[in-house]
Amino acid sequence: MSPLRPIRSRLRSLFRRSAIEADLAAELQTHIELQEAANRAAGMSSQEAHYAARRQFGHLDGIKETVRDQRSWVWLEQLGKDFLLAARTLRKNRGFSVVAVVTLAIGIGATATFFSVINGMLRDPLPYPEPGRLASVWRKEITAVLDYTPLTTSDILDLQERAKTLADIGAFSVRRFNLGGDRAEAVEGALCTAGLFRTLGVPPLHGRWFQPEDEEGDNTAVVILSHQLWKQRFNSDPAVIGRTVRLDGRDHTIVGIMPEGFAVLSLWKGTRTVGLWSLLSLRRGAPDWNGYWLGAIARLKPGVTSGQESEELKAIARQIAAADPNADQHRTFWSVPLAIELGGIAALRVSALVAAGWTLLVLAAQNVAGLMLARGIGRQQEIAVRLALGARRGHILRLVLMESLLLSLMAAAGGFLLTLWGQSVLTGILPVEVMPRAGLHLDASLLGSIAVLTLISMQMAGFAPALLASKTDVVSGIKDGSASSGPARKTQRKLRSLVIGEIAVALLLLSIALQFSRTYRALLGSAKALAAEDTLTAGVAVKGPAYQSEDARVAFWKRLLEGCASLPGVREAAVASELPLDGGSASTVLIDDEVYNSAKSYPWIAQAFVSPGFFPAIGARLNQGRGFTPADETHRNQVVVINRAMARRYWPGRDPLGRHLRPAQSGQGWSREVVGVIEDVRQNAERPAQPEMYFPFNDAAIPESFLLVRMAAGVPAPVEAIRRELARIDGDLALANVRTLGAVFQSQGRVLAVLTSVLDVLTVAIIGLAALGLYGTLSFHFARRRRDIGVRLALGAAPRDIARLVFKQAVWWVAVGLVVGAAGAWGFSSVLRRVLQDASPFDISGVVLGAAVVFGAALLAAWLPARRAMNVNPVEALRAE
Amino acid sequence: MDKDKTDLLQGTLDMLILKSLQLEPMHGFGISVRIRQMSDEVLQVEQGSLYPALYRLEDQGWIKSEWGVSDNNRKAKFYSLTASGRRQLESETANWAKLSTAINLVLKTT
Repeated sequence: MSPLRPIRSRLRSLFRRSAIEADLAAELQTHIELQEAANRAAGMSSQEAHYAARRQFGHLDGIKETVRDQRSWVWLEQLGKDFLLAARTLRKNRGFSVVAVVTLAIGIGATATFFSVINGMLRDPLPYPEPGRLASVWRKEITAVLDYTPLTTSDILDLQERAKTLADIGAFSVRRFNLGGDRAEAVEGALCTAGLFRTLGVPPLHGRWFQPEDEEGDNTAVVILSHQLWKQRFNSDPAVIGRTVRLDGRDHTIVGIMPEGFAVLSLWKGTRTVGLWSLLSLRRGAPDWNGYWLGAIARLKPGVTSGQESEELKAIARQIAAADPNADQHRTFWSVPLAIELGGIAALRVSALVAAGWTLLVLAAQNVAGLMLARGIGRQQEIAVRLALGARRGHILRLVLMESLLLSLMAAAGGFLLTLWGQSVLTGILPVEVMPRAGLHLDASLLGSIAVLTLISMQMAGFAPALLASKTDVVSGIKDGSASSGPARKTQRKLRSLVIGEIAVALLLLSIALQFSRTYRALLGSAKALAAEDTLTAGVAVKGPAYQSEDARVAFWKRLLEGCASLPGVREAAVASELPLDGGSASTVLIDDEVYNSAKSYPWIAQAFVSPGFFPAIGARLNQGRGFTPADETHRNQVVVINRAMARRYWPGRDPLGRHLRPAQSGQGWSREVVGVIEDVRQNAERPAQPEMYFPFNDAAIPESFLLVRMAAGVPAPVEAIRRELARIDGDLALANVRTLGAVFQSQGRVLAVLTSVLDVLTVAIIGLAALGLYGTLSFHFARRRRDIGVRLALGAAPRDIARLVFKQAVWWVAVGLVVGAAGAWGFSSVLRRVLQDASPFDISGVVLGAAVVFGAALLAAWLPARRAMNVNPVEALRAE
Repeated sequence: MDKDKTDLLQGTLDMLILKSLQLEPMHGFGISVRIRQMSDEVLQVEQGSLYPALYRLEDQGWIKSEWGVSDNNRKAKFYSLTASGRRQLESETANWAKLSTAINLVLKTT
């Protein structure tokens, strides 16, 4: 017998169902007749024979049922029936269905879109051969979880010599160069070791990488150009290999040109576009021996796992610390696969969006569940009748679940389209920092995520209603309907908890969204307090043979600042080693009489070297004491100005003026007096202000610094005149990255600004969904009370009284919901604060605002049903049921 | 159900139906009468079991059915054994013989 036979016959029976049923009925009828005939033959009267035959035969329908169920594909048939029934029910309630599908689609679309961004980032392929073997290496405080401290010169040399799990390690540090020639040009570049190119493994377009011989020899002045610079400055001429260029006043030989799109991807100042790489030859005992200044990327040997590598690096850090008491005792090495590090940080930055998308989905599903529950309560009578007529509870459950499945499927289709649309919108607005390099794509994982989200939303939306429906009690269900002078108590209680729960969740979600948005906005807003638009900034790298000494650099800046200050319209000209919000350097200090303790770890404190004009140039307010004066510049290492965050940390509630700071570790060299406290100026656009110290510029005269020129309000900055001033002093130097302070803020805060605005849109959507959900539930509730209201009207209540009744009830429910939601919001906020240090504190105004919005939405949601209640025609309402 | 009628062992009904069809095609009523006669009125097949079993056997492909006319001129559905049904009957009969011999042996042992 063919094994397919039963299946064929089942299929046949599936499609020829009615024929088979008729067949069976006829056959059974024959049987009864034959029995009857046999009975008569046995001597019974004809009537007796008839009844006996029936009796002997038993339950006719029972037999049919058994035969039917035996054909096991009957469930499929049943499913098709349920499907049609569900589709019919949904079509009959078109308003409900549209609202449900649209809200679910928005939730699914938003979540899937942001998921695709994060997923894209986490799986963004690195543009290097065998990228899985690349890892970044950092130092971190032994107890810290995340700490991206760069490495020292000796760290790189130690790792090169000792690490057996590494095939290679490369180090680099971003620098600004003056590219000399006919016209001097400032170029972003990087110092990097020969190992960096070997580690990344991208072959050059022309020429070669750096070689060990380059490092050994006397002429370490070799340079590799980026494709971009080569095209722009050398007209894509392959013959430039071997030629020399003047970099910072010194001749460098061009040895290679990298292909288009090549970049050193790293968190270590990775967002800067590098135009050239200059060979960095690391030597033990060099002056910057102990500085943490090198970003590092390593290539693991084939077959080595990330865990093995991390273990070895940690062991090496311990060996170094044990062998040399002067080595860093507090920081160990740690290493992360490069792809995970780059993708993870970027993904973390958009995670708030995913949270918001998720919120939308939860809210949408909850809305639909609410609507279905409300409908389910209304349908209890119908369901009770079905049960009384013999429907099994499993069947009822299936029917309700089928409705939510149908809704979810339609929502999935809508969500899919929304996702495609959302991806194209995001591709247009998201900055590169939070956009996968490979772009956003429609792929299997995205489709999978939509499927999963659909299942989840179906679960959330369909389960409670299904349970409610299947639990319906036959007797009370039917009685409820027959005596519907008002909704029965139980139904009333269910509805009430539904509305209250909905309002509580809406407020909770809204205040979460507001808190995120506020946290972002606070960071963005405080960046704009400075004289942003009137102040011009430009990088100047005072480097080259003529500027080896600090004195030479000090003299240069004195001339340039004087020259700039004499230009018309200039209010202030200043130099600073760091720009606000542009990152910076840091060091550790001892406070007052503190004695250095090698067992203690000292926090990094941001530092900047600035000229007296700096504070007025950026428009920073002085809180206490004074800024720098020309006198401070002549006496070295005497004074320091701190920001408020630093004053708060080290001298809380006390007067910081007159206190002293000394360098940690040695405690020697200088002891500076705190002479002023200025308003916080942040070092990073996405984090609140950290403690910061300002030293007079002349104390260090950092070669790569920034010129700041503040103009009188409304006067355009004379960029060309400034360039001429610079050329008059030194034709080899050039201005880099000329822009206003406002542009600096904007470029640093760009990611945050975009994220915030996307989040705001989502927040509006969240409020809309919450209001919609409330409206659905409330209007349903009052629709159910039509008869009750009709009675009141018939007994002489004025329409106004009815409106008051409706409102009173709505307001009372909303109030309870708000209290519950506010408690939840408070709880969430304290958790968030523990997780995210930068989160803005729980402030009651946010919750009040959220509550006001939810309350307004609730009133609006109640108003329509109330108005409808007022217009109830008592006769009709009483007759309706 | 009458108390003195023996309940059919699970699975033996199929065998009995196949056996009753061994000689000639029969309709459902005929099969139930046949089984009762063959068993000396001991085995009474309930219609509630008979028809589902017939449909099951047909699904298995052991019997086939066609409409015909009965002795007393009624339209009736006649079942007949298929080739695989015959094989099935043979193997079930052999199994049953083995099983009943074995059980008899056990019960006779004192």
